[in-house]
Amino acid sequence: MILAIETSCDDTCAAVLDGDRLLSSVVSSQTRFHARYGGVVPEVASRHHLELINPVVAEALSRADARTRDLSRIAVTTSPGLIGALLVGVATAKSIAWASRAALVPVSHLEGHIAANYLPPEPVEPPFICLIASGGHTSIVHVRQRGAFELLGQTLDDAAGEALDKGGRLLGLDYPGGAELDVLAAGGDPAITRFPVGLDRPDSLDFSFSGVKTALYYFLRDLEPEQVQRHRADIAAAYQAAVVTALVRKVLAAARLWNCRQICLAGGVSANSELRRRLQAECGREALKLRVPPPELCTDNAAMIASAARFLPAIPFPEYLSLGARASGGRAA
Amino acid sequence: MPALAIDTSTEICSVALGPGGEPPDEIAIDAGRTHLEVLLPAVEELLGRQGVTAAALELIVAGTGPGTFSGLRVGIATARALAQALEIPITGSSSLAALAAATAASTELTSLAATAESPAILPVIDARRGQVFAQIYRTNGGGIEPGSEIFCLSPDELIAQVSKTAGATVAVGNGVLAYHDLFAASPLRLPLPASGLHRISAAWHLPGEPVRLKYSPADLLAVKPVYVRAPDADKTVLLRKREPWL
Ligand SMILES: [Zn+2]
Repeated sequence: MILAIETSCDDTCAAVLDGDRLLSSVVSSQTRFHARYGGVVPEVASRHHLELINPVVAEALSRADARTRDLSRIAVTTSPGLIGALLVGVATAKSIAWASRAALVPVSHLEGHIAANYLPPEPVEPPFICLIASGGHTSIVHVRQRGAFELLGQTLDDAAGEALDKGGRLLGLDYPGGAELDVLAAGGDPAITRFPVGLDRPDSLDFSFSGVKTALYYFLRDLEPEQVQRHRADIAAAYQAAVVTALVRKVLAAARLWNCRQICLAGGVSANSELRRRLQAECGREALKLRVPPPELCTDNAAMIASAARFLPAIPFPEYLSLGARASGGRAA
Repeated sequence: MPALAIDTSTEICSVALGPGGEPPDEIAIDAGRTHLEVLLPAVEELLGRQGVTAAALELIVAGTGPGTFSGLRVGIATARALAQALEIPITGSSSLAALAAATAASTELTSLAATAESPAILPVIDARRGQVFAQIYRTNGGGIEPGSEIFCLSPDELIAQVSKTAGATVAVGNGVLAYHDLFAASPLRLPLPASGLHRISAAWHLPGEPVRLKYSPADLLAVKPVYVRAPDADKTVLLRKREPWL
């Protein structure tokens, strides 16, 4: 039985997984605490993680009807993320492991998002191309086998979810604006203008969303307020289309380049209706299989960390006691 | 009853196991910002050399600061998770009080205070950004009790504030070392910089008498960092207002 803990950004998460049976998954979102700042404030996030982590772990164990002595492995996100937030999760995970003499599995947050695809209801078998897009990251990876991945491309500046949130903010929506932008855009006509698609060239699988964000800023600045008001939905649709076009083109290019017939989604942006619609259509045309985990497994959660831990090496007791956390990306040490 | 005390409020990572021998067994490491990496290995070593197993622990005591936020969170998250997993009681203890208690019990105090009969003690912890956390403690018959709220001030402001207090005051802690010239030029009396009284020792968090607390999961959350300062979110908000596309 695996207990997993995830505290890399602003959600405090714990889950218990037994084989491929997900016994519990608890997510305590801090979004409402950060809304008044218009974004995640690292020190605020760290304070909330410390307040929430013990009740969240207790709730995950209790829903799974498990006790710490039943646990053979403790899994925890050790990178990448907000360092102060990661510290709380890693200190907690190591201490529970030490107290119960369980092994510890350090998991990278990206590995976790990918492994959400290995959970029921429809566990995916590699190989596949995975697009991981959220407020914190945007990456394309090639997965040949469970427990390993190759990074093909990533954002050079903002994450896709961040770009959508910031677009929402420029259009006057409350933080985090991405989901509301999606709703607003549904009633709009994207033909009002064409926003630039970042790094739109065949030799790169990387992303850049700073250009489209700046373009929106100047577009809105140069319009009369009543025109902005009248065309809010159209502008939202054009803006969202530019962000989604970048994601769709790159992920299809990756599938072609790696001759891969299966595409998986991960991360909170997977919930974006325009992204799903466009990818469905494109995958249908090219006879590719598109797999999208349920929404609660796409946003940050600990079930995906537990899932990844099944395919990663465990560090035995007591070697992990000196394990740290890292803010920057790459694989967990 | 074996009790484990942890203090990570300053750059010193200190763990103590009591009651054991007298004084309690202790490990203190100059951890800088690496509390997460050094804390549990220190706990493992300490228990190992006393032949105490994790399952035999009956109480966890966490130093609650004030101090550096990340350090405190590592110590308190660790203490809480140990208490939660072992299902044993946990309690919090002021890191300023630990500094004051060690000073009150030291033979250095009488020589420092010279003629004063019950000198006051001023533990000072570096709060970074040009400030210190401090609190006045009164001594009486070997015991200590707080004589003020917790201050979060620049060292100059602190010295001006406590100089109003009558009688001899002995200042200790890494805050004194960080601004040593200022404190040395003040009326406060200081142990030598090399004195152990400036370093927090987790042993002073251990209960003096055998106590048996009942385990209650609610107590976990009662043990929390004494931040004193609000999170520094204002800067982020200001930046966003000026540049909304950020
Ligand atoms: Zn994520």
